[in-house]
Amino acid sequence: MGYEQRSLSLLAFEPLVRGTGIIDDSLGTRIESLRVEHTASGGYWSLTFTLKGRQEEIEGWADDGLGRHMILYNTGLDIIWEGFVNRVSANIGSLSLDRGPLMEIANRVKVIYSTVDTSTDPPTVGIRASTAYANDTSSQNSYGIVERIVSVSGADDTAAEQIRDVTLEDSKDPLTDETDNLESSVEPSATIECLGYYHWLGAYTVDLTTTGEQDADAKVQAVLTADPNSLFSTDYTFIDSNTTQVGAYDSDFRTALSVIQGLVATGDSSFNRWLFGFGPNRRAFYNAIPTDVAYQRRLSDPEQRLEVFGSNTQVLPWDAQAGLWTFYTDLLIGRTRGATDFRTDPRYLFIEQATFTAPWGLTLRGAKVARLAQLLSRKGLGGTYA
Amino acid sequence: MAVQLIITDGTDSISLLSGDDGLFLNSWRPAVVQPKGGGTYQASSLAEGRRLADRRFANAIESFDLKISGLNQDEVARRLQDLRRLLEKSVQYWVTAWQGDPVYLIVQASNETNVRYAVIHNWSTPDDENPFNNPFLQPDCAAIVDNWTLSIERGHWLENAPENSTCVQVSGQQEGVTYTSTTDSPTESGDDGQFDWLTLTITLTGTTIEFSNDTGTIQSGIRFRSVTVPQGATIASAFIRLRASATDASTLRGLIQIDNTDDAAIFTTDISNWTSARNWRYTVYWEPTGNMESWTSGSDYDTPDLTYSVQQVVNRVGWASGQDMAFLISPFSGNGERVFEAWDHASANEAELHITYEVSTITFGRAATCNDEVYVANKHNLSQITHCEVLDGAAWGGNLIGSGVPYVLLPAVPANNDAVYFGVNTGGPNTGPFCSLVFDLSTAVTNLSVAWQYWNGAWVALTTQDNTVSFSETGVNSVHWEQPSDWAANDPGNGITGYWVRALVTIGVGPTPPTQQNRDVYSIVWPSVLIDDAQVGGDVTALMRLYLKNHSHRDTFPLDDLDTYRVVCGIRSTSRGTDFTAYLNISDEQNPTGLTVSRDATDTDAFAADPTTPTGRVLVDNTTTLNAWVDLVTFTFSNILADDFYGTYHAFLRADQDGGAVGDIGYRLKVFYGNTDVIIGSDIAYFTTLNRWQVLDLGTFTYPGMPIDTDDVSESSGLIIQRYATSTTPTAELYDLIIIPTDEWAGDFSPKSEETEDSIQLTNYLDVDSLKPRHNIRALVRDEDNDFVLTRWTTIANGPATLQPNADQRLWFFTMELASDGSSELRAPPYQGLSVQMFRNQRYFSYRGDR
Repeated sequence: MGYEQRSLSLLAFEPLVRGTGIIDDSLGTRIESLRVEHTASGGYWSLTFTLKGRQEEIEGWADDGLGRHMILYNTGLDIIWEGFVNRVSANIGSLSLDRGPLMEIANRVKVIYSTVDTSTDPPTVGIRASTAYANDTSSQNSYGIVERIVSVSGADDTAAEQIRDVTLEDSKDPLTDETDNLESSVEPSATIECLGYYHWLGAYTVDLTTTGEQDADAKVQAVLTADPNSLFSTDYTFIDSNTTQVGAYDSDFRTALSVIQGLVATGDSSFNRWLFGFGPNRRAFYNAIPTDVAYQRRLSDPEQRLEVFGSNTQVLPWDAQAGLWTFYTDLLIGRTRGATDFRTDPRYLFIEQATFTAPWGLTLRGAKVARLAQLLSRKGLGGTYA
Repeated sequence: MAVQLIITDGTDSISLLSGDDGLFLNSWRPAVVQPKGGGTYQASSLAEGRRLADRRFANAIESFDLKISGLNQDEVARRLQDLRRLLEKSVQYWVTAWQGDPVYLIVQASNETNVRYAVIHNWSTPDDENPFNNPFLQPDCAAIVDNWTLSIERGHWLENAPENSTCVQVSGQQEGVTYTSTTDSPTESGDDGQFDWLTLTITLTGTTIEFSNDTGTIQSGIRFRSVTVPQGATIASAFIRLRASATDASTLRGLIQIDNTDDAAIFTTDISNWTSARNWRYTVYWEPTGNMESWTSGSDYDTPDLTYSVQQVVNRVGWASGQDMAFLISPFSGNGERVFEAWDHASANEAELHITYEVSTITFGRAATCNDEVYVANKHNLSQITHCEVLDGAAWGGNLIGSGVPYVLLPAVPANNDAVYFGVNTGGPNTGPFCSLVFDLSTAVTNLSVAWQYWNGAWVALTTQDNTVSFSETGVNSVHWEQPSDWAANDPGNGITGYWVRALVTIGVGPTPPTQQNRDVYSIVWPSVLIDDAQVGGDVTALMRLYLKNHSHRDTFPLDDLDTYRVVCGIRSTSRGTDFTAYLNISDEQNPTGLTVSRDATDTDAFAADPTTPTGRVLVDNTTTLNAWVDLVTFTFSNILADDFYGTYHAFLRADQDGGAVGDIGYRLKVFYGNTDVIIGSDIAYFTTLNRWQVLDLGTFTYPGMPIDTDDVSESSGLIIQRYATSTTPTAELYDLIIIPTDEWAGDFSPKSEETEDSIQLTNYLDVDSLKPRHNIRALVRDEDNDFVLTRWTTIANGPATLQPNADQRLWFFTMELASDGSSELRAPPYQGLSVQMFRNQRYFSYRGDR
């Protein structure tokens, strides 16, 4: 007789912009619920858990939980999710306290505006201008630099700066919503919503002034390097070469997320879809969609296991990843399996999103892969596919 | 035996049975922990039935029907208050961070041998008696509470009171081979001589003997008397040593044959005695290089290795220890001569036959103990030291390994430049360099010091962490070092060629030698400790506490400190395979029988010697093939061994990249079973620096993973290390694949600070503890002197630290250090040495009885 250990480890650390100190490495055995999402575009997407505990612990999450660095490990001690706390919803007695989302704060603000000449009748709108950045370093030290570009039309310099400063003042701290329902009181608990570091791509704009064209993967690296918070790993070994030529210049206050999504949408010269996201240790991946099948499912499996394709090796539900192909072995039984083009065969599912819900739930959401988006993007017609 | 049903915090106790406390148990039907929600089931509407996928135990809720009596109402009230206060303390243990005493139940039936304990999580007493009515209101002022129900939520029954433990005896041992050496010589004139084929002259009484091709064809015959090698013994090495009696540099190539007979006859002047009466076999050529190239009178010259020849004679059914063995040395080509001293020579430097053979297997290491004397290495070798030999002036004292303890490690009266040598005879299979020695001294030295040295063409200083302090500390202590890159195998003069280190003596006044006791000196070569099934009982896994101490750390190592900054460990029951090892050496030796390591002939160079590596062997990845996955190294399990490796693991590749850039080379792991299915089983890992002892994390994999059970047999199965290179500039050296089991308990512990002072060093130890109910598991570094907590390590584990109940099991370790260059890089030198102590608290569903 022997026992197998199957507990996941969920660890909370200080926000990475503050340090690397450990806050709690025992969450894995204390949380009430856990939901983890992986997406094909983005990688580690979101993680939500609920925690019941002592009031002071719940208060700690509500007061200082935003931005905490979170890592989830599987039973084999592998990192299977990594991200940060974006929102905390705490219940303490009759009080419901909601803090965040972190990604909606702004502590570096610039206003882009069109000047207006009010001396004419009617006033004439002038050229496009921008203010300098206004920063709140206190907020930046607590949460990292979160940038916001505000676009207005018909403003003069003074008005634009005023808009900038008010925006900064209003947005530099996380929103706190509180509701005190005196008729209802519950035990201390918190729902912690975490996001993957992919979402930090939306928190800064890039200013790439190199002219000419460059390989798409080089531009991906340039965008990552521009991260003002240094959150992303500089290990680019999982960024594959993509010789598709893209414009190197990008200095129009686009967010890194927008630029990356554009690059992903471009695909490659063979119109393959490309994926971008973050894996363990905030290491970015950028690679073409896989051409082989990773998983298999048997609808009639009593245990409803996800398995490694070509074998019956179980993939435990928390280990399921997005961005991979799954084959249904007992669907349309008898049809010959196509070896190359999975898009037209309903037995193949490309996992856009894999959602694990503790203790044993797994949902795979698939989509067919289209090539039109790549073509449109390359023609400059938009069509992001992230 | 005492009957007990007690609630206590360790200080205050209230019995639910004893009238002393006024509480009387009316009835109790003990509860048993049940699975939460009955377990987690998967049920497909397309399949029959349902399948249990997972199960976790909930707490049990005990319900005690009690009666409470007292002399008066106040006394009953006090008793209820005392009980509730104690129970409330049990809750405060869980809901506050600062009340540290758990409250627990103690239970023992009237004839039950053992006591059991259970931590109280919560309690309730729904109601009391009406204070204005019977039975609380009694006519004689006494008071009774009748039909009073106490509900207690508790955890598993425990062997010990919460936070207490019982020592688990662990052992760290290895079956090694012991060798004995014999040196035999002719003992009379007829035992050696020469035969001139040209003149048909036989000379037996000459003071010198030659084999030559100059003036004739002269052969030398030597019979060695009373060779005390047992019949069938495995020969590790054999050679003949000759004392040259003439200087000669003329070209000569010789050959040596053995008389393949049971008991070689003495030489006579009868020609047939040299020819037809003999069975000269198993030719070994003595090439005209090295010690045949040029002889100087008065010097000793050894023949080439004659192991095979001697083995054939010893294997003869008619061979017996003490019989005689004869050799014929003949000129084969060239026109020179070589002359050596005969038995008849006055100097008594006649020929010597040196034979080393396996005597027996010997168990090295520490048998099961609770003492802090069980070591683990950061590698797994089959090699073990074969020799411990004292050099007294110019006289060798013979091999002490296997000779029986106690033994004295230096001459009785040590003198300057006396020494004790420790070595691995490289003449045997599965041999290599070593990086530690463990002593158990009953007598310490006085008035002397030792200098540790190794051979690199000369004896030079070896930088060590000598915890024996020049043999001045009694008890179990170890010596550690980094295996030098220029360490060379040599024969220090005792006829045994191998990797040697020595402790060279410098004396003071009245020096005395050290004495080894209890067990042979050994080197730490295993990365696990064994826990016997009798050490851990109970119905479910036992909670565990683990102490890890580093003995190899040294502040002044030139590059590495050999402190411990990360520990990855995992339990594996040995019922799953006794031949399992977590370290698969990328080497052509030192792997378990049944494990074959093969390499890609194009993309790797042949296995080569490297004295710094775990096995002394290295495989170089030459990155010939670019931009494609190459099956670089294949570990093939025999169908007998394969069963021993079934399981789930976290894999690490220990390797170095030389040249090129980070990212040029990536590795991943594949699992194969049978001829067809090949499964990608793990992540891709790249080198992150070009420094030594890199650890590439290959992630988790399951072997074989398919719907294969241990009663299925495949012709071929195993693991493949694949490599993807984008540049031919770098090369890589591969050392071993470490697979830490993760399908029983496993943990990964490290400080988060990236500060070397937070590592495990000589003066502190890592305490991994799941005995405290409030902490599922925690890892603390404590000061060895006072157990003060120095720092906390981050814990990643698949559950509380637990041991399997009633099962032989091993706890496997892989450790890393923080680079001493100020970077945050983790490295895994194989030279780390740690000791292990373990403690347990067994868990039960219900009654303990006598188990």
